[in-house]
Amino acid sequence: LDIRQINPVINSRFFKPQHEWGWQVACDVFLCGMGGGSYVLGIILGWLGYFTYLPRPVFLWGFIPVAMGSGLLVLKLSQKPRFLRTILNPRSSWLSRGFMILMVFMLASFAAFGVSLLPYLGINIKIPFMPVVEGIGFIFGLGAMLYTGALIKSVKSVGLWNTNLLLAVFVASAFSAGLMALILVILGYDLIFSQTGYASPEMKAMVAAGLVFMTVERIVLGVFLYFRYRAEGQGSRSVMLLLSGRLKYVFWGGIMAVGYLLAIAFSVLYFVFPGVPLLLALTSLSALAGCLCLRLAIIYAGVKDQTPLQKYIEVLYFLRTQDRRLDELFGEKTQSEEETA
Amino acid sequence: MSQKVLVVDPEKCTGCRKCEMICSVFHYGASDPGRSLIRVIKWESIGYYLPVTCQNCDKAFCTEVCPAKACHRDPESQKVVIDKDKCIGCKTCIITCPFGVPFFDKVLRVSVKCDFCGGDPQCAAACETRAIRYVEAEMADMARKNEYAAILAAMSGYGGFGNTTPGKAGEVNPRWR
Repeated sequence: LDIRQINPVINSRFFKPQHEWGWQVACDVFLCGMGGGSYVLGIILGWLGYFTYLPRPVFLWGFIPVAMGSGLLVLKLSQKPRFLRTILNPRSSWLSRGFMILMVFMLASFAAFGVSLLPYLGINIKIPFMPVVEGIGFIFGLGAMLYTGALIKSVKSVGLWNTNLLLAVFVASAFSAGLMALILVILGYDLIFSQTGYASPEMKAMVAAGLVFMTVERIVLGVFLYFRYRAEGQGSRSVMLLLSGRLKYVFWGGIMAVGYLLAIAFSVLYFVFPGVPLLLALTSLSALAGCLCLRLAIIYAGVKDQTPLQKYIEVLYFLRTQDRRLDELFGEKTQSEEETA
Repeated sequence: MSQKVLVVDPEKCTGCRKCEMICSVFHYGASDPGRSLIRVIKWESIGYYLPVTCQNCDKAFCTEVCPAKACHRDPESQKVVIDKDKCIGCKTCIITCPFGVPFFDKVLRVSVKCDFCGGDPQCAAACETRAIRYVEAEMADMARKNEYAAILAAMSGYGGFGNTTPGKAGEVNPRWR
């Protein structure tokens, strides 16, 4: 980012990444995406009839990470007691819309989780509207996954974020993180209750699906970075910051090495030795670490575009110096001609 | 109804930062340029200084993204203002403004921006070089038009408006043909 030497007008102070949003927002979008993704995939697994020996609450815990993420976002506010005012502008603010989406999702998924827990507490009550509540949770779970990208995309002055491809990246990553978190929870249940479901063909199919999700996530990320590099504004500077700048360790180390290559290596080992639950846990944890690094990298690489006034100063400077440069050029030429003569 | 806007001219600004000082004194009763609602950006290497303040955009991004409606357009003055008692401090307005204008006040812990001093901006009043002016929006670029007209007149040899020498009245300058 040290471009001052190249161009005296462009003040390098203005090309530093934004610092208004930090790790709290990154963790919020990671946890909300993971919670929404795990709930949506849990419902789909229930429909497909996977893991019939598992109790329903194992699939419906998505509200817990979403609540943690929302809590982090509230803690990030400078005026925390006023956090309920967040819902006042749903017409145009994605923060307001997101707050509402997350509230509905948390209520619906908490209700579904609570009702599914009742039979294990010895209470057998048939509640007729539960499929509807689960359906609402499903729709708002998808909404929570979309919200994570839409919130970041709503900042139009950051070139890296102002694209619909960011939504695709975050949704793909939410599916990947949700599936890996679901694998981790199922593994935990199996270990606690001495089951061997972690070595079943269903679990292998889930791990294989996780690898597909992770690969799709990286492909979408690559397309996103390519188009942002070619876009106008500071998108290219953000991409360079990710690939070869200060955030290269987060990108290459966190997203690619730990989040992808290491996860693939552990999953291959798991396929060879399915009886070792540690390999499954390491696969999930490394993939989740990669998803968190993805959010952190994208948030911290956001460089704000040059303001119109800065562009104006740039034009002013070059208009003024153009004549001087021509004179210098002409002068040098004349001098050389004189020397030749 | 036409409204007044703050117009800055980087060609005239000397970077004295008196506007920052007077703004903080007016709003907080103490000289603290760090809390000023106008900031002077400096290009020391080329000698340009630019006072940056709210542009009062027609389609203000800060009002769109504010979740608490603290940043809104005042219905009476039609100015974009931030209500400090409603701001939740999410900093979304700061990050989304293309001019980078709302600032975060570390004492109040809310976003703040120029409130035009209730209709009498102190920065414009204090600016000795007239780099900051508070004028009608329609007249904002009039000074520049006048300067350009003077340049054209000088090029044509008329020496400005009302001065027709050395040409004759009604004569068209050969450069304009």
